[in-house]
Amino acid sequence: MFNYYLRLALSSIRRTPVLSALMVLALGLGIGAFMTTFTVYHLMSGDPIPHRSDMLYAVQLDNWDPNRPPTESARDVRAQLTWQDGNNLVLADTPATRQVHMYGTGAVVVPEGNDPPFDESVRATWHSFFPMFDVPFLYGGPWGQAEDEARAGVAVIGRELNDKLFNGENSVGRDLQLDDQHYRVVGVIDDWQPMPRFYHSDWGRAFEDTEQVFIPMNRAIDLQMGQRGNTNCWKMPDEDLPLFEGFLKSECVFTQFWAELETPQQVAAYKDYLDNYVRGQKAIGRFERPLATFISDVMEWMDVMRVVRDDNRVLLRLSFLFLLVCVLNTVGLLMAKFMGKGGEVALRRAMGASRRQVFQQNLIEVGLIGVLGGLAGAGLAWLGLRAVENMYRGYQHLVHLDAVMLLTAIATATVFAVLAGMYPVWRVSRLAPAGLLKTQ
Amino acid sequence: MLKMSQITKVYRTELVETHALQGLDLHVEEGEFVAITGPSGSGKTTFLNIAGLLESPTSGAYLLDGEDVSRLNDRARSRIRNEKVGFIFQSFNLIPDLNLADNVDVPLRYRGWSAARRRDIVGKMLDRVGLGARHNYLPSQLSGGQQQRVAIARALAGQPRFLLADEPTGNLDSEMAEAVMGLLETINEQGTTIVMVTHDPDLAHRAHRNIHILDGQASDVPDLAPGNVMQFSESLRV
Amino acid sequence: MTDIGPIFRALLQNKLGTLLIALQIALTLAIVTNAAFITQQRAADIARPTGLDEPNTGIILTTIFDMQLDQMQMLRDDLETLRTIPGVIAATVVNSVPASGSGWNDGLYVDAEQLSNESVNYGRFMVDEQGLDTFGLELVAGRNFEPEDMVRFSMEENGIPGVLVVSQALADALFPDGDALGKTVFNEVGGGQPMRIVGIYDHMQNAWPSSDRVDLTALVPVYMLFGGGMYTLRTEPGQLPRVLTEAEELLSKNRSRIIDYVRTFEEQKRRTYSGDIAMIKLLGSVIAVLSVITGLGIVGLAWFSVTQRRKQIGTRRALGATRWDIVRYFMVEIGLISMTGLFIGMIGTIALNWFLDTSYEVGRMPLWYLPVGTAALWLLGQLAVLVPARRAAKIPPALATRSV
Repeated sequence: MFNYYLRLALSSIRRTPVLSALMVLALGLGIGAFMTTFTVYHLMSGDPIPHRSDMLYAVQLDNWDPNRPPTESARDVRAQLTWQDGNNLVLADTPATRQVHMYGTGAVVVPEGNDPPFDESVRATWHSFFPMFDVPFLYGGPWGQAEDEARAGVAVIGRELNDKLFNGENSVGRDLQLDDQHYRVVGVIDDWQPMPRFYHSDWGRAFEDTEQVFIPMNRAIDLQMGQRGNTNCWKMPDEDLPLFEGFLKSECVFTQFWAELETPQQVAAYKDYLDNYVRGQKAIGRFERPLATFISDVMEWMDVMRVVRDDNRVLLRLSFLFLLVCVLNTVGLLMAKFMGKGGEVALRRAMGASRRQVFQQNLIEVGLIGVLGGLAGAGLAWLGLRAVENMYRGYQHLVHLDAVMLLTAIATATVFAVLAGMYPVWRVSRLAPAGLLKTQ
Repeated sequence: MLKMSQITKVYRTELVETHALQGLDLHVEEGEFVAITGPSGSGKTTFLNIAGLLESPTSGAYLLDGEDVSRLNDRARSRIRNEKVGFIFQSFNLIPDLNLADNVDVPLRYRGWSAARRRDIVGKMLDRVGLGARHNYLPSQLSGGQQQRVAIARALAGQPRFLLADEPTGNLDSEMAEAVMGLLETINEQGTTIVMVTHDPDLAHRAHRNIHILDGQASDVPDLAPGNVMQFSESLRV
Repeated sequence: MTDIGPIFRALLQNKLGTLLIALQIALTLAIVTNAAFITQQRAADIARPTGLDEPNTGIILTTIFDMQLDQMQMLRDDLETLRTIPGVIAATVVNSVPASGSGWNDGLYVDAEQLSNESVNYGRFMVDEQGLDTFGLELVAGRNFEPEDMVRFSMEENGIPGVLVVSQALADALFPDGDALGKTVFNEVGGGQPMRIVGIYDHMQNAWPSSDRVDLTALVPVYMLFGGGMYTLRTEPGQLPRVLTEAEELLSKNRSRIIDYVRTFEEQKRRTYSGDIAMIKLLGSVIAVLSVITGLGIVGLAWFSVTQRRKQIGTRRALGATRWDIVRYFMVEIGLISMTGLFIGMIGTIALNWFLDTSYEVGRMPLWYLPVGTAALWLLGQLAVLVPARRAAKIPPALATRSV
């Protein structure tokens, strides 16, 4: 029967091409708009590191100016640490399984031969970064504790840079020049793009590319490599120090700090540890505000950092209402269309079709319109995402349309079409079979 | 074959109650060809709808083929319509965007038969009404008489025991009407019971028996000469 | 207008169909009006003047990788090069430009003893004596920087500027009595270094256009020597593209640094506002597409209703209705439906704005959006129904007597 109903649906759609096209278009536009904003929203609010997100914690310490308003939640506290606090913690024996301290910097990569030099973002970090964030390696591996302690000139590079500098060959052991310094490549990272880029998700940076160069933080500090990204200061040291040294000893925050905590006991112990650390610092005249430390796991952190922007939420809401209008539009048109089918329905009922069969037949027609609407919607969503990609900077990782999304679009459209069509279809199946026959 | 006793049908709206049938008694024997006559508004259409199981009576008993069908649910009634009743309408009621074969196929579709069996029957039926060669045509490509022959083929496709015809020649010129009427007589001779509603006294006269419906009640019309029937109808039509 | 009674009663016969269109119109009004409001607001934000000579300003960012290079000498050479390109009015080296999303904020005290929460926050732009002219600012009081005001800020040398030139808004924020010129203020970061206000310019935005202190800015006479230079230049009208091409060529001759980018200020501003521009485009398409869908929906339904009512319309014509009567029937009909929908829609519009404002701070919509949106959608309904109504008017009266 299904094939028969499908054939009837097709011929019915062909009989009212304008009305049908209008329904498919309306559904398609509604689905397309909604899928576009939903895809962006979904990817923005996604878990960037699903299997570890509940054991990775971002650390915040409230070291700010005592004259500023008090702290109520993690959102009121700077998202970053001073170098001295981060360095104290990373060197201490804490209850955490692992900790990482890092900051974003940059350097000019000077290729061997005659290729022109170019700028690259550089992440200055500790060896623990790679296992903590489950970074996949193509060649070699991370540097170790020894290199961190030795403040060594070693580097891990990304696949893209490896392709560019070393033609994609195993470059472990090769030389990398950053500015006027030389580094030994110890590892090459495979494609790796957590989305959002949670480990450094400052203002608008949550959707940037991962860095292509990673070097030991101690080395970067020794070289006085300047920070890229937000830096907030409220107090410079009282003593007269050379600029960079003064900066390191200041209350300027510019580093990110993460701890790996696997059990609730560990979480509690680590929080106590942080509180005690701050109390110790208070004793030497720092941290003049009321004690406030925060640890947030990855998803909590994404919320603290407001990674999903209000604009995206507004668009999501509006596009849902938009879809609703399209569905209402379709219900109206379906009502009109099905009321016009009274004659045929009455005839089929006279020929022995039960209400249920009439219902099924028309539901399949509605479903078919839904599938067509879904196809149109998926196509429009694809266009919509291309447009979004062009309009926003740093969204290129957000906007891929895959088979799953295509199927979701079609399924969503079908569900909405069937929901929209349910009432008209029900109405038409309840039409009295008698009475209509005469007037046809 | 068909036995109605004390059938009433009341249509209710917010404002009015219309008593379309008021204790109708009617009996049709197996193999009969019965013509139903009566003026507009007399209850003919309501009778037809109830006889064809398109509507349920408000009260009374309706036995079709010995089975009480007046209180069945939609599903059961649909099945009986499909298996036992064939319909022929004044305006043919072919589905315009289906070809002739697909139109004849409609009742068979609700039987769950195999495609081969259906194709076989559809072919035979179209051959029987002389349109086998045109099974691919659309209704709009046929004359009115041809369309009605397709409609008859459709009505016969399910091999019903009982054919309900509602002014089957009403939209046809006399030549075509004669052909259709001839076809119905042949069908009746082959054993199918036919109940035909008509205004046309000539047609009514060709039936075995005439039943006249007036104010929702039926009465057998004695074997009158055609001229008398004409007069009788005319006077009531005013 | 005597039609309204029967039309209204006829509509009541088809409650659901009427309600569906009315609801669609209501939702369309709510969405379109709110989207238009947000769009309008973003556009107004973008249209605010930065204070710069926007169409004639360009930015060049360079990064050195030879750390032994004499950066001060390089800056001087580069500025000399840029300033001698024909068509250049002025060029300077800066730490950032307005509305670029990246810059430097600091605080000022009027009194060295003030607490930090009493400081006035300001956007700090480090420029040389051509800064004022490059940014195209108008000095309303005092003087520009002199070469001897310039200090160097580098890893080795933390020069502290002794003077600054402030925006009128900053001057007023610091000294509400209007006597800012010549006063000494104290810089928050760095521990209260004193600086004397030597000049006041009309207006310039800071680097973050969404901040609430966007107009509080100041120029300080500092050469920043940290691994490169961001050059800004202003040209004669229409000369910018040529000048930038020439500048890139000339600066590329120095092989011990790279040029990260060369862009016009307008491009920089577009990048900063990319989120708002995207919002405008997306909401703009929502408005357009939604209006079309609702319009087409009305066309479709009315078209269908004409088909259904052919006989009735023919009868009306036979009974003496003129073509215009038929057209008017449909216009009054959609008018009544629109009225219902728009009434619900007005409530919906306010509710949606309230929701969006309390949840996402889009702002309160001025009330005049309501009548404008309502009128626009009313008109849309009338225009949409015109197509099928004209078709209905063509139905011949003879149809009334035809049986099928």
